[in-house]
Amino acid sequence: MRVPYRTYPGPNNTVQYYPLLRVRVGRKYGPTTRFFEALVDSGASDCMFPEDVAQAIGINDITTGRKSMRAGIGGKEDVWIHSVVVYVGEHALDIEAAFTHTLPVSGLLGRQGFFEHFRITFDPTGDPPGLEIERVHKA
Amino acid sequence: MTPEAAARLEALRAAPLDSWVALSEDETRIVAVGRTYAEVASELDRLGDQQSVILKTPDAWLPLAL
Repeated sequence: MRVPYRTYPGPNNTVQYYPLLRVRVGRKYGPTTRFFEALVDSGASDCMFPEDVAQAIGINDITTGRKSMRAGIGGKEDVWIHSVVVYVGEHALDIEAAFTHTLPVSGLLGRQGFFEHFRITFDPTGDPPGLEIERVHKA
Repeated sequence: MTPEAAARLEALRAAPLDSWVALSEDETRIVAVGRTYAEVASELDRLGDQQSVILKTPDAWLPLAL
């Protein structure tokens, strides 16, 4: 499926375009979030969500997960890993996702847990710019 | 830019920063705002709205580098 990049305000009334997907996150046999936007981020090692998303699916204290760290432009950050299900279109992905106290977006879809399940083509030259995603099933 | 993309842009420009907002299913208008995801979800529950999409706004509209 082809998904157009989404518009996002930039500084000084400029426009930014981002590869954002509409996803839901849940736990097996547990509650599921509403649709929310997550950034498709090939630079992210794995999928990451803010603690608000954790609380919505019944993880009231993210620090009960397996502690790890991630490095980004903002420096090092503690994260906690939990098993979740990410719903992308008709696809349900059982993954290990990182949760953090501070994330400036509502979700990141990274290489482990997301890119390993899809063939993804970023096409910023299109009108509108967009990304093509195709599910890959590997044994 | 499509009219829908332009409307989304204007809706987000008007949204409070460092907040959670819900955009209508066609992403052209804001239907709920809150300090937390839970506040926005609760408002959507009250509206009987199952299709809006939620996102977190940053504390400044700057290009993202995560």
